[in-house]
Amino acid sequence: MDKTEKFTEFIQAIRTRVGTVVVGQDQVVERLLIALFTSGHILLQGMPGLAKTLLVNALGKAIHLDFSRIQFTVDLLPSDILGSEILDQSTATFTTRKGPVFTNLLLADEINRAAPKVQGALLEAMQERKVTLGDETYRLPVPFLVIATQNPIEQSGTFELPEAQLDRFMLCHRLNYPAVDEEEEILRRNLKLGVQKEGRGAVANTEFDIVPEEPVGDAEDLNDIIDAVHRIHISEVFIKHVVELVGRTRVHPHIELGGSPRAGISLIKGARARALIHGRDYAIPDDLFALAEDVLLHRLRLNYEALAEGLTSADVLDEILKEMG
Amino acid sequence: MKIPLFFVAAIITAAPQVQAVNETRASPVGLYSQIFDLILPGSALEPKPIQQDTEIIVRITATRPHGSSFRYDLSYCGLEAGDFNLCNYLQRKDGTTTDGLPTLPVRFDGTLPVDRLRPNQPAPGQLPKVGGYRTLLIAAGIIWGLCPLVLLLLNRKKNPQGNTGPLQPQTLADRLYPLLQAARDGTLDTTGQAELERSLLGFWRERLDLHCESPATALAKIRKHKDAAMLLEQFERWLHHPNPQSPVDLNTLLDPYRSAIENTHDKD
Repeated sequence: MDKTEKFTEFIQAIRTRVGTVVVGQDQVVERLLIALFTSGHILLQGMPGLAKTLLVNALGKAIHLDFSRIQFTVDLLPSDILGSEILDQSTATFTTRKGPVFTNLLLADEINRAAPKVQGALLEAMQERKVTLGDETYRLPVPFLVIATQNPIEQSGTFELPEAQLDRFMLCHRLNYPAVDEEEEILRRNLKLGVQKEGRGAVANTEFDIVPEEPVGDAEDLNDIIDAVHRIHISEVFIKHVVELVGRTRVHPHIELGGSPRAGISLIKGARARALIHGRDYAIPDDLFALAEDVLLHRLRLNYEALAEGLTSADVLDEILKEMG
Repeated sequence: MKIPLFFVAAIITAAPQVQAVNETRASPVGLYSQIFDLILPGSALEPKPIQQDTEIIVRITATRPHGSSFRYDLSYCGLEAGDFNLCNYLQRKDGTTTDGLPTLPVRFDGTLPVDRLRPNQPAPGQLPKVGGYRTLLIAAGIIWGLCPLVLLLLNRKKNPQGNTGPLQPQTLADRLYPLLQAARDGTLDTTGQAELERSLLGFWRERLDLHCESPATALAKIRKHKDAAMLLEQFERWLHHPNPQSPVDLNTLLDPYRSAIENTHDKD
């Protein structure tokens, strides 16, 4: 079997597995896989109740990866994420207690609810992939993917991530409500969840209870895919397209802050992973246009004139993309 | 008996005024002092015109005839500390000399030591404004009115004669045609190839009427169109594939676009 076919089969198996518990959300699954295959991080923006946690849980189990979830709150401390040194009174020595960041898949739920120093601690760990506790520096497990979420509506009592920190997320995907038929299917599946009995008690099953435990692949398969993504061919013409697109965001009259070189790098990395997911060994403009919104939108800041005209970053980016092709 | 007593009294009261001429009168710098009924011999007197460096300002507040002389009420103010003769600051109205005048010593006491501080030179006066507020408003109005005219003339000068009409934006076909020709001739560089690919995507968006769709959605729909999908896939193989499996015949690949553009031009 051709290697590309093998990878396509593995990716399809992951998608099918996730699909058994999460209805629809194909695009989110694809974005999560892109982030995972490129060692990037992803920020999910969407309302509560869109199965973000379930999705990450199912993905982690499908590839046999460790999964942790942190609910960000205003009183969270950096040590609650990174870990700390605890004094063992019996031996009078300090022992290290590693925090939930030491995992493969970390779901940082409602990241904008924590104080900036906590956000900063996580974002630093994301970039450096190592954490210092006391005098020791520990490397984070490989692979390491942070999936952060934030609610775009409730803004009171939140600390908005500044542009420099948003730039560290390779992708920012906006989750939408499921389509009508998908929502009907969600309800139908929920009706079939059933009840689990334990001892003398019984409790209604949740979707988390039906996530299959056996993986469809292991870390070795994932390593092969990460390696394969790095071998996806990027033509000179594709690089020209990326530079053209990022450059247009910098000179657009409605944009105050355009895409950084990191945005261009993310576009190339994302396009490589998407090409592999779609069974190609080279990137094409479809990959660029498909990922442009998720890579660029959170990196753009509109100027006062655009805001006064009631424009949004999405409107301006759409205009730029339409002008391009 | 009463009359001689009256004269004696009058002589006694008049005597200090005559003596007061030679008596030094002291006053502080900057404050006005006055002398009443001062009899000075000779024709009528007036203050000398004030110079920039004058030490005393003298004013004659009243002049009355007194036999062959005149009796004066004076008001004066010292601007500098020191001893001065007040008569040096008077002159005859008829222009004759003031040699016959007595010495009229005055002293001005300053708070600061002498020569410690001298008054500033007065600032030179400004020339009066030409016209005034009304003239200024009229001039501003004229300039305001002329501005558009000047801008219009400048703009006309920039445009070469005979090319004053608005510039026609290049159509997609106008942009695409030279790129296709260059690709066929093999002279298209990487930047041109990228531009050609974007223009071809634009071509299909226009042809399949997908203007309102987002580029990602439009591309997905183009992929479903049989001809477009085939041509674009071949084109992508030429530009993006690391090792194209079959040699790309550019003429065959680009001819459909060229003929479509030429048909559009013929219709125009």
